[in-house]
Amino acid sequence: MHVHLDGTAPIYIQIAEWLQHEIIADRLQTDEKVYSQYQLAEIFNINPATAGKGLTILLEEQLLYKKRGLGMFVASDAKERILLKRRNEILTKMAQEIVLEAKRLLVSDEELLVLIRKTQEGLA
Amino acid sequence: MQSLTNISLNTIVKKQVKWKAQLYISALSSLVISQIIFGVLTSSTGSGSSGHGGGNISVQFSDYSLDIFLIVSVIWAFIVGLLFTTKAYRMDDLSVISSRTSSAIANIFVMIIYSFMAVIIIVSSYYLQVLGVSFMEKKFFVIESLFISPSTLIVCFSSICLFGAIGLLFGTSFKGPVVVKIFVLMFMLLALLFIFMSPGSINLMPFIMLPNLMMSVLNLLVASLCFSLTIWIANKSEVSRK
Amino acid sequence: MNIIQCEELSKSFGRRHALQRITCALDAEKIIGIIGRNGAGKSTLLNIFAGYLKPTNGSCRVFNENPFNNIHTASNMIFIDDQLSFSHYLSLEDILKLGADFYPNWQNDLAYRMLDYAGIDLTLKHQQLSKGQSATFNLVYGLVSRCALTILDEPMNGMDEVIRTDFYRAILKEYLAFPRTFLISSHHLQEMETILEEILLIDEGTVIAHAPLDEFKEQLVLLNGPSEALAELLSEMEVYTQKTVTGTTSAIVNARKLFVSEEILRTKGITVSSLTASEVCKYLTSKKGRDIDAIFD
Repeated sequence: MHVHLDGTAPIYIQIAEWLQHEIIADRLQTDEKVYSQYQLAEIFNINPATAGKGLTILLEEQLLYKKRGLGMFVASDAKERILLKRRNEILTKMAQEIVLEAKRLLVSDEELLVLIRKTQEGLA
Repeated sequence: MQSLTNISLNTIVKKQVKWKAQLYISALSSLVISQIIFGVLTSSTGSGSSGHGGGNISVQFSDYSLDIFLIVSVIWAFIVGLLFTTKAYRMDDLSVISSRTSSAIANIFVMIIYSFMAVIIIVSSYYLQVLGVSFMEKKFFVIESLFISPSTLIVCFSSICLFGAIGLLFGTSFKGPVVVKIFVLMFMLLALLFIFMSPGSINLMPFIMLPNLMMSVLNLLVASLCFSLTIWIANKSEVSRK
Repeated sequence: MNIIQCEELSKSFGRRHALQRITCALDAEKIIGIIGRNGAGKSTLLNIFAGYLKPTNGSCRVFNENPFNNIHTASNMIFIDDQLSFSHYLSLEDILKLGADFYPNWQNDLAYRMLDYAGIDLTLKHQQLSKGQSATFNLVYGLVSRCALTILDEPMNGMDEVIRTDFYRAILKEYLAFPRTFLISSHHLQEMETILEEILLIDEGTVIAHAPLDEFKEQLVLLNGPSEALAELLSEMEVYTQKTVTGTTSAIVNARKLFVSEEILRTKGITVSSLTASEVCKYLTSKKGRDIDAIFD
């Protein structure tokens, strides 16, 4: 496997986000062993130290836990906590950006709400 | 942490000698070729000849000796010594485990091995020449000394070694630290000046007339001095890419 | 653990000061990028590490020894650059035998597989190879020797893009299989950025940055926003370059001196974005406020 990274965010953050994504999508389940920093290095073609930094972020947020000598595993409430965090942080940030951009483009509040509703219907 | 390998200078020098002796072998073939050329050129006259005529009998005395082959060989050794220190050879050393010191020692060993081989080549060339001459000239009378004494062989070896050593020392000096380069240039300038100022006073005869053994010892002593200086300079030299 | 330690190291060639008072310590078992513009002193520094050159002043220690003309450091080190040469009498196959004879960790099978992959005919002589092929061969030679210190000075010069990408990955995989210290100098920072752990940036003979790659990248940021909103902020900051087009200003500034949070900036219409490592290098090594545009004004 050889996955490409193309975000502008630092690579270790992209790794942390990718792992969170895998947890949300149930490809990494509770108490399952996650990739080691060397496996991640191989998959993403990055330095293992960078991959280690990505894992550390998740460890610090207690989304992963460490078993001595065995590696890192997915915490039991990891998925819920990631979802909650995303809702809080990411959605808020995106909403802020949408509102600012709308202001810049002289879109009125009503027009913006209509746009969002239409988008929802389109995806439903 | 990955454990470091510990290879001794001895081991490295041995490996370098093994590879260099094989790879520089073309230097020896150049000697064979030059010996053949000089052998043929001098085969009609030898290294010295004198004619006597009386009535309708003419007698030609030709004196065939090792001298001409030895002279060719020492010049060859000097050039090979210089050649070993040229850019191409030095750069090749950098692609394996080596230091300037290990390379210098390896070059010296190869020089010594090649000097041995050069003696064998000299002797073979000499016999071939004698054989060739006696084969072509129907009327011949051989000739007292087909036997070459061991002391003569040792003189040959030590002389070739000496000139090889001088070649190595020169070559190494010019790639060495600036101080050494200046010293060598000054030395050469003074020597030239000395020769120019007093051409009559240099008399090599006493040296050439030395007994074989003394001459060999003297040659080998000076050669060892050159070898030591070569190693000493190499040890202080940076890698020169010129 | 430090594999290389330099203190107040200087090197002059005649009157030219190639390196000036360099002090740095490099850790073992990392892939470190040695970056700098042409003539910055990268090669001189690497030549000193390799024991080829002697410092004019100061000290350099490799494996805790003076590397100059030292057979012990030499036997644990390999230095690959485009001047690497081999005897004209040896075929590539023989050169591999030569390497195997000298280097104790030599991987002959791997060498055969890599050269086969690169499509290099082993019956050729080294001097018969094209520039790109010879660079590829040299890099393979350096990788399979598996030396504790592997110095690659511009290893990808002359290789085409496809093979470059492949061999950056080869370096990474070799590093994962057999961890060792790699020092790689290159003009192609962008291409090798992801496999590096640290970067040592050299400019005009001195070290101007030595940091983990992410930290290095994060020291500069690009601010973009309305000129009036930015003007006040920029007046009290270290600005590397700045450009204004129809009321919108973009400026590159030192992130460590940016004390306003991103949220507050965003409400003023100012966006903050990160730079690539090679952009950071470019701004750190070019004289402040200097711009190619200026010579056309």
